[in-house]
Amino acid sequence: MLMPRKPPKGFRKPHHPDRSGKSKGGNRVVFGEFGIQALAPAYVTNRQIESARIAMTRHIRRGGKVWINIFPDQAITKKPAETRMGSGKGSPEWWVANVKPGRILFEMTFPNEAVAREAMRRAIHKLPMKCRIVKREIGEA
Amino acid sequence: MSTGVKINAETRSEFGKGFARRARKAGLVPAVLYGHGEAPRHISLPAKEFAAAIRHGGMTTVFDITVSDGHKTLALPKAIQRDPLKDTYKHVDLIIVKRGEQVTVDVPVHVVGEPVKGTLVMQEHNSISIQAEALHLPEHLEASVEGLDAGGHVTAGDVKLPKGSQLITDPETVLVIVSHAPTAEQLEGDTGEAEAAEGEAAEGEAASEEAAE
Repeated sequence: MLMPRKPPKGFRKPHHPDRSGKSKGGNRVVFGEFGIQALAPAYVTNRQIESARIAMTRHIRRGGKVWINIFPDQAITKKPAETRMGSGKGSPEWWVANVKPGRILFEMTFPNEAVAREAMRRAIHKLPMKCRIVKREIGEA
Repeated sequence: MSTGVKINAETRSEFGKGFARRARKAGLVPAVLYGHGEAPRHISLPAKEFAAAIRHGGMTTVFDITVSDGHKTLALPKAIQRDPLKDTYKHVDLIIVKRGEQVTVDVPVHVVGEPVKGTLVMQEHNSISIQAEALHLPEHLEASVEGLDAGGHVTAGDVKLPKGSQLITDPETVLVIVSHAPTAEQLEGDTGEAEAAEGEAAEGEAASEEAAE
């Protein structure tokens, strides 16, 4: 599963990342032909990314390529159950990618559009927010 | 060939995000028209007509603009700001062109043809720069991968250009690569065991740091 090799010093237990606003970059399909675009903000965990990738690759089987455009580089901490408040911040529990609306999460290239769309539809079901399938715009250079 | 799409524009005297938002709500796209040493003109274009022209002709569409103050000119879109969620246009930069003028534009490249079975086509560059007469710009160019086997590629120099146009991009620039299609096992193992091992190592380090605290 995706996660940083070693978080930089001072970033092991960060505050919750800002979820406001829209995606400033990475909102166009650039590598593949199709992409999955987020329509709402969310923290996407490394498990969800892996699950979506597997859903896609198992459907296309062979003959295509999948790109993952997000990386879970933010640690989210959690205090153990039945623990009193205080005594410091909890331990890192999940690694998440802070996704904002408009971000392209995955890209894919596959010769058959119908199969590619079905694979992406399956992947969207594994993600925690509303998404849509977008196609690379060939009119705009 | 996209030649002079007629469009009527209104001059605008107000600026800023407040006016821009009101204009967009009223079905207009704020735009600026400049070039050839002329003072920039701030105009508003009808959003529907502009979007339709760009959808059909792309970034090489030449607009025959008639401004409400009587000014007439030919212009080429230089930069378009698009809302990624609403798929609407937020602002357009238009550059004035003259009839018969040679202009340099980025033209999108479409991949055509069928490569050998069991291969995967990957487009490295989506567009190439060409110099051509302003009113005879191609909507798109074609890179043929017909019959190409794994390891084959198409460079900018291989693309057939329309008569009278010149390639500006380096002819050695690789546009399309044909490679072996990854097998099911290769696809499955993309972010597989190696990274899981890395993750475990990171977790181990984190635990040791915590113990140190």
